[in-house]
Amino acid sequence: MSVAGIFRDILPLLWSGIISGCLYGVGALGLVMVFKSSRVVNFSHGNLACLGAFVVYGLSSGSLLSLSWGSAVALALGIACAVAVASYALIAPIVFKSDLASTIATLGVGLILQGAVQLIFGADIVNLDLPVPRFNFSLGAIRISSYDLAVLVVTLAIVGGLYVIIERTKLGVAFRAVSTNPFACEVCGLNLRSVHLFSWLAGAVLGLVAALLIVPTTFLSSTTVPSFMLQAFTAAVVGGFSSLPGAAVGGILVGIAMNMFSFYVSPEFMNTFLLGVILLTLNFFPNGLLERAIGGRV
Amino acid sequence: MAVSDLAHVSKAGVPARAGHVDLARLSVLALVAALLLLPLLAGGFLLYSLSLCFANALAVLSVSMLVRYGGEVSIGHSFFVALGAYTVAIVEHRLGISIAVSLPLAALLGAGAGFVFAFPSRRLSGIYLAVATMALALALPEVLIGFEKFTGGFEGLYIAQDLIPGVSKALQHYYIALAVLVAVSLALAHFRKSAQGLALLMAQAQPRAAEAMGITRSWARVSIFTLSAALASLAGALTGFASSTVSPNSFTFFSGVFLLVGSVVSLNGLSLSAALVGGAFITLVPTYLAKAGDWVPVLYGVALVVVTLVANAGDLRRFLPRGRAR
Amino acid sequence: MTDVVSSDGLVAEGISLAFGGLQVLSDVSMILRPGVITGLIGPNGAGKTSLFNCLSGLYHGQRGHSSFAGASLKGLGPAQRAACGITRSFQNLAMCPDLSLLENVLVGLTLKRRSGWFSAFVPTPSQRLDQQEAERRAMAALNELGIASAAHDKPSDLPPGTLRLAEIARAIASEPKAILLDEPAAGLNAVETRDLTRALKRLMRPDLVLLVVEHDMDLIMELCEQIYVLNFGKMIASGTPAEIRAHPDVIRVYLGDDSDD
Repeated sequence: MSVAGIFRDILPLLWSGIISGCLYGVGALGLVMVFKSSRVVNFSHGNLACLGAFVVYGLSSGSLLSLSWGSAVALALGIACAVAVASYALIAPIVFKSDLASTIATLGVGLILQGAVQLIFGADIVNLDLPVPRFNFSLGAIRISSYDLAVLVVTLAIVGGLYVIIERTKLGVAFRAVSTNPFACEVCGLNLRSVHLFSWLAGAVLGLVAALLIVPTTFLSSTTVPSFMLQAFTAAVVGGFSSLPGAAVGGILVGIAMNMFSFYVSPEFMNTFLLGVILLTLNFFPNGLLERAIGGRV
Repeated sequence: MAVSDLAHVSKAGVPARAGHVDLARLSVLALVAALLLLPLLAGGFLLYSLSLCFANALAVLSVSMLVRYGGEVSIGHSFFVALGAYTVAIVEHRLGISIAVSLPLAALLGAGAGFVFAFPSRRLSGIYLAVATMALALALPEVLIGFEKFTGGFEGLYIAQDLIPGVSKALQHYYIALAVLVAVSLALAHFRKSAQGLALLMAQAQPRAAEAMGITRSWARVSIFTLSAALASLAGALTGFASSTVSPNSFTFFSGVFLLVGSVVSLNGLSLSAALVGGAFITLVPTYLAKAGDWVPVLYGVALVVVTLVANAGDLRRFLPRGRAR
Repeated sequence: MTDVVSSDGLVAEGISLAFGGLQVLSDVSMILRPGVITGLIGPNGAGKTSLFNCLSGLYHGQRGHSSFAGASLKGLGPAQRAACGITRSFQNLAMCPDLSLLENVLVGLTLKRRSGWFSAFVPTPSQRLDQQEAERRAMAALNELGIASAAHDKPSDLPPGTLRLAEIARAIASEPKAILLDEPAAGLNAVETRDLTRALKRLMRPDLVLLVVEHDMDLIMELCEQIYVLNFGKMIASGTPAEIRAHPDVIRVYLGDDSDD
């Protein structure tokens, strides 16, 4: 391969890696928020996002109803939030007692959601596009599509919104306090439950948004979710699992690395590659790649 | 706990407990005797299901062992189960050797893979391991299909060789799986009293105190995972042997989760009876509810949530003092 | 000031420890001689536990160094120090709830056990011998503290006094060269404290280093031959009980407060 050839390939690969990486990052943000506040690894994250995406599909495609995309998304958000509240309510009695048991319970919730998707929507593979005008333009070697722009805009809006909530609102201060020292917060009279609920709701919204944006690049089926979940989990691990900026940057790194691996090595061993990334990160950067750069802030 | 009573009650055991121990021992012996005699009455499909059930019971034990002694969750033990099953199949295909060799080999390979896998997260909290096991479970189908040359790809491989020539296949599968299951549960009962077993339990309950006694956290985490993976791989070897075939169909992402379901349903017990309950649950439910298809994950999910809630919410005293410790 | 370091004891020299901007220990030195029961006292927040954790390897001071029997302990964590023969007890009862009292003490012998992984699963004659020997030693330790009758009970069924003694039994079972006790009398009633004092005096041997960190002055004065007093992270006095009683600084910061109450 010529040097020029590598350069011709590498820029578009970087660009599309960044785009999909944004979505892994958004998925990872939801996991990290839940983990930071309640010390639970939410294994139902992907299944809930999948259910939400299927609801959007069902309500907008005519398979259940034929609503507009916007109202379908609004309804799906409502349902996802309701399910998130319900699953937190299920786990609430044990969440302070055992991290392990709560984590197992989220797996149970994930299985139930998985079954629900299959029961309601079947095992079919469906397409679900974004309602954005289609156009492309080139910037040097990079081809930028309207989809890419949509992803970037939504990601920036979400990350910005999250930043404002966490840095500037009372709820955000409570969230930061709880994730630093839950015991002290309880002593000071902060309501841990409301902070937990906030993070679980935020997780549900982030998951659904990520799923809606990622589905147009592939397809939607009840089984593609676990592997999308793995990408989000890898992003979270690369970012240190308890750092929100880490999760976002981790997502982009994972997106780029996956694109490179899939292009230069093999697209058939993506999950194995991610397994390797996780193990190497845990061994050499147990607190995430960004530990030095940004510390544990936010 | 039934485990500690199953066998090898040290002479230090209090005399007052003798009656209780004898009763527990007798009921386990009766169970084993009943299982030994069963092939005289039953045949065909039931024997086949039970052989698989024994193999799955072993796999469930491997997950329960990790939970009990390590305080860790794994949803990727299907990887080690598959490793064992494919070891048996590949050794037979390439070398023409029966499970007399491949069974111990599978356990060794499982231990090696478990060590390599657990080593990177040896200093970290258990949640990192759980996340990594998810990657393991998802990587498994890729590996099985990708290395077609060895694994037979989508088709998988057949396992045909007998261990004891001349005995019917069904009986061989049944008795060998049962023998290994009984041997393993005896070994686990012995392990509970051993220096290593006690050290692991201490490292899990009181990591700092254990450290002061020379038991390091990383030693505990790596050793329990290695042992558990070896057992899972052994279970896989028997699964392959008992079902006479291995294929990627039996090792999807969810098979690892189902092993955890089996373990949770048996309350992470390490006794023979607990293992049988867990093994039966994950073997028989899908077989008999095959028509219900999509209800199986829902049922498993409900079982996970309900058992976890009941098991943990009931006993407040035990979990409160160390709830935030890890 | 200590050029002639007695090479056979546990020695800490010029230990300084800070958490962030908070100076917890500044230039603290201490010599624990074998055959002498040494006490460490000081008001709450004086840095007793921090110093204790520096000795047991849980913390590592930013400055200073410690040695045991002439060998440097630099960089050794708790597990490695345990291998050197230094054991400790825990202030908050560190018992495993699933194990009986005897088994909890048996864990203290882990480093002395000879059975390998094979015999952890399969009974072998040598493993049986090892098990019997370990149980004998654990029972002897429980006997020494007078709690052998509770050997087969679960920790949750036992009063804190018994568990406190079991902590010490676990520390002495492995026949260590140095024992560090963190507030062994916390939560004990008067009778139990007296039993503890007797037990500790009984188990003293000429080659054993024994440190007791306490805020119970009476216990320390009765038990220890050498006492160190810590205040605001500085060692303000050391000496025999009589010297400590008469030391003006100690009277001011510690005993003085006591008598005011």
